Amino acid sequence: MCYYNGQKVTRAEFIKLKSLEKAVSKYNFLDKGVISGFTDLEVAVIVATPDKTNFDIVQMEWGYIPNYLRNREEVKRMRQGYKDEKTGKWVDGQPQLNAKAENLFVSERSGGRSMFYDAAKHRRCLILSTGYFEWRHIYRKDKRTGKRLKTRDKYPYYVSLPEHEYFFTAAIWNPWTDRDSGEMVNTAAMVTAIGNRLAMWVHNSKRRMPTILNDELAWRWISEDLSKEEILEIAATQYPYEQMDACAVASDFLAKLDPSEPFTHAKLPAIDLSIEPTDEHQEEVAELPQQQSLF
Amino acid sequence: MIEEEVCFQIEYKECPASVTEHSIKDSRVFHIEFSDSRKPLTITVGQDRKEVKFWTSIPEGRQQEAEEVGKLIAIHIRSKKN
Repeated sequence: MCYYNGQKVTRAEFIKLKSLEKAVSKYNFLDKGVISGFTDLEVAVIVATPDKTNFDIVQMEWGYIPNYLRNREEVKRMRQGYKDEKTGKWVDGQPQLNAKAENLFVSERSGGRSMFYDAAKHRRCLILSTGYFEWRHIYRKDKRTGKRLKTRDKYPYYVSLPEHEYFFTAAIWNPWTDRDSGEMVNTAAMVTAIGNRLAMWVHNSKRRMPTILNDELAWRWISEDLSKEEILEIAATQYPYEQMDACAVASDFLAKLDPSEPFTHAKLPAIDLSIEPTDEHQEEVAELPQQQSLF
Repeated sequence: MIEEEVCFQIEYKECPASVTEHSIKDSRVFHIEFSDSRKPLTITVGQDRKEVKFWTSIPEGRQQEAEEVGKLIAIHIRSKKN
């Protein structure tokens, strides 16, 4: 006599369900391709269980919403920007996708208490990732004078850890309630650190990178009661660049079946990981093919 | 293994949940992600000895949730057909 979940089933049905169980355990329900923080998609997040002996995988909205925002309208203003009624000037949006490690406790703007303070102390989590996309900026060069032009081109790169199908990125989260609609949502921000050598080459405008943690640090990040100093130390972790890989991808990578497929851009200077990029590299110049003159 | 992935929303015990449909080993499998702290649930349709179909969780252990959520999914699918 076979039972599955308390139901009396035939032996054939039992074998079918058990074999399905095995297939499901290997199946990747988290595979959603590229997740952009600008499209309000949810991300897979790991949080410790309340007794901190295990963890759960949950989904959260990427883009930290502080509790002082009252409703979705205010969230939209914060994320997308708005025109200041008093000055008439446009105030740039702040999607709060990232939280700089050095600003977890101290606000970058005011120097006072950071809005991430409580989350950094009590609500730390991990964002599961298979890789991330970042842009390298290359200035154009005037072919006649050889001088750098103001125009710069953006080349997307896919950064991954070849030895790891998935990796953990330090993050913090906040439960937020829309006071008008009653909507409750958990929102998260990814912690970023000063970039390592590879990140400095690839993300050469801001020179930052996600705080990627190895298994041991990841577990400490979510499960231990850490001091502020310990939190800041882990948050500033630079994953070894030797264990990372970056390849240029097509400019329209989001439309590709495989967005991480390598792509060769004409005249894109190669990355040389044997040397530490300098400030000059931050303003890299490329000789780009110019349109033939019609005259 | 992935034939197609259909995604829709349901509300279970006043909690919004997103459902994706998958074809695994020729079986229709539904994966449910709840917006609260509840763990994601995977369910399918089994058949008992009297050939009566029933919703069941994969793996075993969440039968009640499987039956309740399964009913909501069935209602959603039926409403789409009409």
